[in-house]
Amino acid sequence: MTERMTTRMLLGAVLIAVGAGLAGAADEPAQPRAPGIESPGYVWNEREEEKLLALKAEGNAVRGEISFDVCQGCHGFGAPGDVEGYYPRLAGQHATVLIKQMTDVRAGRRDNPTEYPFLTEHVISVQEIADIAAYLAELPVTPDNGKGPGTDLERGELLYRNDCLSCHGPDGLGDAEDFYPRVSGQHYAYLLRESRDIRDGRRRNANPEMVEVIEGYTDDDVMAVSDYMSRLPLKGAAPGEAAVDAQ
Amino acid sequence: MRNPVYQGGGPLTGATGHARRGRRRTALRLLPLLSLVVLPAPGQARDAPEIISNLCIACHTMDGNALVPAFPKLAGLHAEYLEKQLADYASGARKHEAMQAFASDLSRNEMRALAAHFASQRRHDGVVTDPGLVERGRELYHEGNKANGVPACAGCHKPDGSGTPRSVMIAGQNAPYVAEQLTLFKNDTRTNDRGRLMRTVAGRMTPEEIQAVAQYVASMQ
Ligand code: HEC
Ligand code: HEC
Ligand code: HEC
Ligand code: HEC
Repeated sequence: MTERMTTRMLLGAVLIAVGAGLAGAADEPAQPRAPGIESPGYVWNEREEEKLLALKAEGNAVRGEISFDVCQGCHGFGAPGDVEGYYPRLAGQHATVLIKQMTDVRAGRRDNPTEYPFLTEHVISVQEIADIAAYLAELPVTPDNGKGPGTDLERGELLYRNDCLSCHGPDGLGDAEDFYPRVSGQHYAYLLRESRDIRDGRRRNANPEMVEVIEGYTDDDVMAVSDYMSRLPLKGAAPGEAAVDAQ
Repeated sequence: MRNPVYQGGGPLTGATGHARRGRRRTALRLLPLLSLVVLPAPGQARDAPEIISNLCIACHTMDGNALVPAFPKLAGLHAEYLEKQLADYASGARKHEAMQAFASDLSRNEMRALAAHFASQRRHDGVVTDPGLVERGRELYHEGNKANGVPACAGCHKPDGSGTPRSVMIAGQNAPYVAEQLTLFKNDTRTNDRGRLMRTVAGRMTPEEIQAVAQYVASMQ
């Protein structure tokens, strides 16, 4: 076999491979990857340009409802998520928290390749991030969220009061100003997944102080505390108001 | 899809100068075939019914309820969407030989008038050709598929399929056309969707899901 033939065959193989790629599924916009908690020098909630702009922008809830239509296919109408907790409830979450999460996904600091193509700058502008956050923060939270098995609530409560209450609040309302998410009314399976992911370093935009607290938790501890959070009674100020105050 | 009118016609593809000349020549050759064509004086706009009865009626019918299942119904679609599609065909952003030839001869005002005409027509019910698939299609339309990340179509196209100015109405659309467009999105052939949204959605769907949801869409009233 001559060298030229080999080159030509190789080229042919490459062309076939390229052709097959073209005939296959359309390439989705791939999520970038930025350094997160696994990297030395990680600064939690660093206000890079986009995050800063979105936090400064004045969100318009009416426009946000329109922009949110590309999200409803997963998060549902009125953003209830699903009770199995695959899609989180976004209704009633603080605007600041929502903006942080959206811009972290865009920057590649919180991995979510499934969602990313619907959240790129070609679909959602920085202003729309603020608009969507304003819209979601005002939506009511209803008590029909997915609940845990209810088998170890005493331990769950104890853990929560000792380790979590200082940030997420006695009623699980979090804190808009400090970017602490509201956890009451959230679906059990989502709370469980996030608590585990934060413990195990899989949620790369996590808060290091929270990691310190939850690091030593067993799987049973995480289940018990998530169960307790999913059953927190819905009370306190409408989080929408709290979020507005913080801006 | 092969357009019967253009079978054996000149080279109509591509946006090169050469192809453009080819298209114009073909359009000229077609002129004698189209009865009642009144060439407009430069700058004189034809009105929508006149254009439709001369150029579009055979495939789309006067009221935009195409009878041939492979052709899209235009009746009731949002005017913004229709106008965008015509402009995209003309520029080549949406590729289709026959539609590019028709659209490139339209002025922007004529596109707007045609869009307004079809948008105001009443859409006829769709035809389900494979009722066995409708249930599977309904589930996908309203729930999506978590396993492969397909969002519910209802999120963008609305639960009743009436759509929004950006995410077009699809209720009652011809099933073969819907399946064809989803496949074109999936294969990266139709590329004029905002932010690659439909290419992402269709790219995650299996061929079976495409057929099922197309049947359900046709069943929506
Ligand atoms: C294809 C499905 C899908 C689409 C479309 C989608 N998301 Fe998500 N989203 C998810 C999933 C799944 C999660 C949970 C990720 C995880 O478990 O870490 C999520 C999480 C989120 C979170 C984090 C919530 C929290 O409590 O931390 C926000 C905020 C969010 N999405 C906003 C949006 C917005 C805004 C849009 C539209 C621009 C959108 N999503 C579109 C699937 C989707
Ligand atoms: C030092 C403050 C702090 C403490 C203590 C803390 N958290 Fe958090 N928690 C946060 C912050 C901040 C976030 C958001 C992370 C980010 O920035 O993306 C968060 C996120 C979460 C989330 C994900 C919420 C969502 O919507 O995605 C869960 C669940 C959670 N915490 C549970 C707990 C539990 C359980 C404990 C106690 C074991 C706890 N947290 C203790 C600050 C804290
Ligand atoms: C020879 C048949 C034929 C004729 C004549 C024709 N069309 Fe079409 N039209 C089609 C086909 C086939 C498609 C779908 C093409 C594709 O796959 O993009 C289409 C698509 C369209 C669309 C996009 C519909 C959608 O839902 O996205 C519009 C708008 C349209 N045609 C308008 C017109 C107008 C206006 C005329 C007359 C000026 C016309 N067509 C003439 C066959 C035809
Ligand atoms: C994230 C929003 C979004 C979701 C989810 C979505 N679509 Fe679309 N769809 C669009 C947009 C936007 C367009 C218009 C593209 C354009 O401007 O050319 C469109 C166009 C279409 C078209 C072409 C219509 C025509 O007349 O040519 C079909 C068919 C379609 N969608 C079917 C579906 C189906 C079926 C699903 C669910 C599996 C779905 N879409 C989910 C946004 C969406």
